[in-house]
Amino acid sequence: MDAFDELIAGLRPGLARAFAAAYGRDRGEDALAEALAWAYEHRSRLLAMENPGGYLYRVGQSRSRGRRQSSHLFPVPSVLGLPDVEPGLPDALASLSDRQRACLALVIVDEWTYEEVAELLGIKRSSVQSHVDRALHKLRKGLGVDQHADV
Amino acid sequence: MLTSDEQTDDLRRYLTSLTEAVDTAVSDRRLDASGTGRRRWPVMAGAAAAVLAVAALVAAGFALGDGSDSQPVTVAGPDGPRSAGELDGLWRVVATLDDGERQPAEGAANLRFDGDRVHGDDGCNNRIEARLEDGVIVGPTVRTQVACSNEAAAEEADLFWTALGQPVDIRDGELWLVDGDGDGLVFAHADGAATGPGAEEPTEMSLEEARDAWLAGDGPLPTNDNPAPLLPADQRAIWIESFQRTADCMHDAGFPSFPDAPATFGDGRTRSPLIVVPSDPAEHEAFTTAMFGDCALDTSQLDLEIFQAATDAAVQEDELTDLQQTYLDEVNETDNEQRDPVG
Repeated sequence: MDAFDELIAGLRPGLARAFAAAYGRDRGEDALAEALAWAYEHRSRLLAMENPGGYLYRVGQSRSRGRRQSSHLFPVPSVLGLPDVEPGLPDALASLSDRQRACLALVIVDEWTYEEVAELLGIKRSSVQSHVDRALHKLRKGLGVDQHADV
Repeated sequence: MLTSDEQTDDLRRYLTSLTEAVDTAVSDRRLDASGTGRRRWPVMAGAAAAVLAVAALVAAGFALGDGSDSQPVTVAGPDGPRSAGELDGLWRVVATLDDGERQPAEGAANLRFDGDRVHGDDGCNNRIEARLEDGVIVGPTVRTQVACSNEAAAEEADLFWTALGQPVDIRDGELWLVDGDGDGLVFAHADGAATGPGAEEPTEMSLEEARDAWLAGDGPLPTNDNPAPLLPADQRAIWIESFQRTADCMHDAGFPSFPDAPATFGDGRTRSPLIVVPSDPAEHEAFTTAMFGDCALDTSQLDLEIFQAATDAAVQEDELTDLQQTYLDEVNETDNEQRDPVG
């Protein structure tokens, strides 16, 4: 495995998580494919970057913009083989902004630090924290749970 | 949800399954020579014609992309739908709205209303070209560049695309695009003039004067935060020039230009920027690789460079109409041949 393959192997899980959470199934798929395609076509350029993950995220974000406005971005849990998951979760997630979902997924699900998420998404640490806080508030509000409970 | 480990686990399992679905789908895509899951250029999915006039589509306000990008925008204000003329002129973003919380904008998203035409930019060089029809803006998106490196501009671009599908409201002279969650953008007229009853409409001459002053060197160089005061014809000239360059590159790469629609614009070149999209799957794959690889335009200072090259011979409206009609004639002819190959 050369340096480029190692780089992609390290970046891909985070990009997949961020795109899937931010944009749902269809556009998330497009965004990840576009980002990886760009990466393979610009290997040397990517290897020279200080923050290749952040750049690829913006590539996928930009190149998939305006595409595939599916009404099933966040499929019901049963479609994903999760029949016992809170059924209101897809709609609650859909109510969040793209960036709120990406931050939520990486911080809460993958337990990335705010700094790591900020680097990948190319935003400030304080913005990540704000997005996570707002996302949690919206989720709790959308699902009608205790506003004062902690995660 | 999110009040216990079990509820948090629901979120974790759902997003993990969603991520796996996305990742698997990308891995399953047909691999190209570079080993990536390159998606076919989506415009061909629903296209009966084997010929695509890329630049003419853009110049004439048609879609570049998958053809399904139209995002209807209802134009309404406190007094109901507004006529197109009331919105005329350039509107620049002045504030973002996040959950209804207003913050000063730092990016360069803008909308220009010109009669029934609407042009826009999300601040990251992703543009829209649309029309106002019966109080509704229906328009395709046009993607021109790759990535936006500025965080504030990127966030505002996200809000721009989120807000496009929402009704346009005029509030206290400001143009609001905001969704039901209170997320969106607020635009102010570039000339500082409020629209609505009693408001003084900016004149086209004022924009032309600003443009001329800028061209004469009295204004700063355009940036994302301070775009040049461009006329609609300037913007179309830029787009045509940019796609002329792409067409030149594709031509050099062995993909023929559209043979029967010569036009003279930009710097005087007569080869058309129209590009023939191969229908053969294998050729098509190579086409997309070239189109979005070696022939993709670079980003840095591109607009300024192209503007300076293009505005020496601005595209005239009748030339655009000719190009548009030529494209439509060719597509109709191709469609007819495919439906009735004998006749």
